[in-house]
Amino acid sequence: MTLGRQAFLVGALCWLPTIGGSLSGQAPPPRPEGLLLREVSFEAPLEQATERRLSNGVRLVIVEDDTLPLFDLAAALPVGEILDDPQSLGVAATVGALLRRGGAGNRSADAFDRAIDRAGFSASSVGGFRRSGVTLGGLSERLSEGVSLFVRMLTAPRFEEAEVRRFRDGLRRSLERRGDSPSGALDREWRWLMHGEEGLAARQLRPADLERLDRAALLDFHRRCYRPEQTVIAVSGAVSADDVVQRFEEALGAWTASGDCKAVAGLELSPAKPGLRVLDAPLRQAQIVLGHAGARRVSWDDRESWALLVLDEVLAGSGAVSRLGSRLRAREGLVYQVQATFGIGSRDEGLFEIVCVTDPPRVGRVVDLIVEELRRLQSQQVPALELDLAQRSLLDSLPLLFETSEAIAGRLAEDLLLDRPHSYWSLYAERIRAVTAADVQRVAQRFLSPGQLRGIVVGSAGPILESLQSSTSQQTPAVVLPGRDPLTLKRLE
Amino acid sequence: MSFVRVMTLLFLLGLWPAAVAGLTVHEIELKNGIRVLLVERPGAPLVAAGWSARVGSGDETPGATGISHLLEHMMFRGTRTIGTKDGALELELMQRLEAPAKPGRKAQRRRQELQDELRALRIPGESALIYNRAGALGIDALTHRDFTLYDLRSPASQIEVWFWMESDRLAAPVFRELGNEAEVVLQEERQRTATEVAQIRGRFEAAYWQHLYGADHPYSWSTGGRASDVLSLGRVELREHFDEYYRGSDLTMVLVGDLEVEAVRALAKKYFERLPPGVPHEPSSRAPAEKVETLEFSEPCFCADQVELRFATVPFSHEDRVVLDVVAALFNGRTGRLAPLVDAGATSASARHNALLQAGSFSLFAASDGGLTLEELDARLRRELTELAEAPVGEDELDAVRNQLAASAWRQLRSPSALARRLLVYDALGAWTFVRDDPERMREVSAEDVQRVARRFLASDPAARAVIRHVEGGR
Repeated sequence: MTLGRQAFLVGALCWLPTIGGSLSGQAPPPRPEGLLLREVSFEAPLEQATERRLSNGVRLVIVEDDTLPLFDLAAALPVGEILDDPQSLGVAATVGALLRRGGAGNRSADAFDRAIDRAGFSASSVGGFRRSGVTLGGLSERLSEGVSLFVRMLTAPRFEEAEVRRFRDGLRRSLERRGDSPSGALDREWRWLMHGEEGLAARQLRPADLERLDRAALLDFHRRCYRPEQTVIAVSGAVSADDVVQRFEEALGAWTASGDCKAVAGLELSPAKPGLRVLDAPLRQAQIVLGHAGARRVSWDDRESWALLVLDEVLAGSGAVSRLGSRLRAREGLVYQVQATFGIGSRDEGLFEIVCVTDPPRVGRVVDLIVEELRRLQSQQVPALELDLAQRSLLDSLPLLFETSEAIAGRLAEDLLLDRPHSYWSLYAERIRAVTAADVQRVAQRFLSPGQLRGIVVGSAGPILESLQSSTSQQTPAVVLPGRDPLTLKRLE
Repeated sequence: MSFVRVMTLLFLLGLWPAAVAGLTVHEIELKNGIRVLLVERPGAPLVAAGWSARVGSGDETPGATGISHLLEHMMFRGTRTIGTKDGALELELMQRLEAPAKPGRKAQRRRQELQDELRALRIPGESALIYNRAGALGIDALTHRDFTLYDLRSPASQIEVWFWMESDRLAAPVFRELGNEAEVVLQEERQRTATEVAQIRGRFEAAYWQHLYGADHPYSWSTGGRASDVLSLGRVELREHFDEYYRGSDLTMVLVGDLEVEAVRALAKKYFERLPPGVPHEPSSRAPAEKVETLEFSEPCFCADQVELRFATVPFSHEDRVVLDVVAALFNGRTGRLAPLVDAGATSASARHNALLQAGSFSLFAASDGGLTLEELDARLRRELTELAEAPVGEDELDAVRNQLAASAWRQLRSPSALARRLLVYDALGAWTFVRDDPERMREVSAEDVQRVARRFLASDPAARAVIRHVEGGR
């Protein structure tokens, strides 16, 4: 029996007498507080997973679960745009996309598609900024066929010329029209604002990059950067761990990589001066992103990181406690949603970001209230009840991260990829509970800088600027950013 | 397809026994007509719990559009017990505040005093606070054209709190701070329609339903309603709407997860049987206009070129609904019939069958950012429809789609919260049993069935055609 199940049974046994009383026909109690348990404990079901390393270094995390006749395979690697040569952007993302679409092994792109669809598999591949991956899932009776197709996608992509050309044409058209999307412009300007236009995390595809995006470049990138020793594969569903290990050893054991694959430097932030920039766009509402630098992780058991997690929950958590949510939405009706994330980077400083949407004439008021709430976190300690609720909310969300066998395998595979010890999850509850109100105030004072906020607002510039003129929190007037040429992204003065 | 052929096919696919055994739903009907559906799903110690009322914007009338959505928001503003320091006093003060007042400064001052007293009685966010303490997650609600649903995930050991809170919400809601919430509702609607293309698609949606079913058909407005209506709605109208539709016979509860059926059945009786029964509503339905001309809808947009051909089909409960779902699957995916459009330069191409309670529609959609012209997109979509009606689909192609649908049906059972929502949605649109039976019904669809529905619903001119044409800088 798993620890998770044991924990639940203990909880259930405590609960049964209460239900027994309820079953005897009593009327519902006048209020619900008497039904609340002091705290629901949950232990991450780490022991449900089997971990193995293949002879070539590929790591497997396997979770057996025969509830449904399904299996899921997901491979992830620390490969992405971060590894792109500055003179040849777009290669990592194209490789990621075409692993699934460009044919694999001895199958052409069409034949591969037919094999996937005929078997009823769902398959995908993606290349992101830091991570790339391949997934395949289907009925467990077809596991053998699924493993074979999955391994081909991951290790033997063909990148057929026609598919590469089609993908490149699509990219070219999207470059021509990238000015059409105000959300895309918001994201782009925000990255530039924080990283500088040459920053690694803010680089944008240029027409010249497309000229170098060919089959040879993709094959070369794949051969160098998709490395078995960096690959983690999560397997879950109605499978046997021993059988899976054997299948993957046979299908994948001979996979090797050759050549170097190193990231260029330049992940550091290079933020522009504090203040707000406005991007004029024909939008009914104004989209706002505000923030500043986040923090750098010292270790996975760094006390400041735990305190920042609680701070984030107090500021804009998903539970009852969300200072921004209650102030901006419930009390003032200014926004429908507001999100805040305090990023903690391992290799770099993360970003602290607040994102919301409001009516253009209300932008000034929204910004003022956000600044006010950040300052309140610095000047006053969080009351005990609020702290307790934020901590509970974080702890109660933990079972969701391990809700299905697919989630358990994925979470533990992510640990391997991030070098996060599995003990992070065993310590989670204890560490969250140990955060005090003084800790939250200390990290708020150390890491929040309400006076140093940078921001981009996209929407109808006239009413936005007018509303910002009466803002009490902004020391410098907002600047209207000129538009950009969609292809070259040069400013149109 | 004959029974023997069906059995042979299912045997070959190896799906028959598991397909039946995969979903066991315990159905309970309470004395007041509330239906309770329970699914045991051991695993993480969580239960996905939700309920739905069979009312949505499709039950609204002009002048009160958006009332279902506003009511959904107001259901989170507390009850006579939750969110107040004194429910009885609060009720009395609210009645006094809403009584006709004489004009004059004295009366105005008295109103202000009453409002201050009311504000002092309130405990904002108490409902969320209790759920937070109970460990509930993902508290959410959704208003659709045909239903409104409320759901969350709760620790299994705290599920009685959900019964307490939701039965209290249904027994004695209090619509506090209506003005603020109406503003939030309008913000949500503006956010949903923030982009130009979203606004254009909204106008096409309205035009389509008006064209086929008349100007005041409730499917022609969005669930958000018209801003002027939302702002004009008062507590009295909300209460009437609630009394009319949030009654036993129009309610369904669903719980999926780590639960024990008998214990939960007892809780359902204890908490929900105290609610009033009400009279079940029969869904209103209006036949589409006979032999309508194609509605030609065309607008410029600062977005990609897009074409949609839309055909009137059948409501959710109709036996041809699953055949049309299979037809949509034939068009979609990397090897679907619309894939060559993407190969030829379209940015996307897809088919969708959207079956609602009162009516359904089938859409073929394609977009291009310059790779194909609008005329080419239109012609290619029509050519695919003609081919489907003229030539029977091959068994290999149909088998592939059946396999995809079977695997997809299993995947949909994987997440307890997704399964709970699906049961609520299908129940509101017709019957929850479709969740269980659809995979088998889809596997029974034959090439003859596909050709028959293609000829019946998709072979003639579409009921509506939307052409959204890219222009620099927009309208």
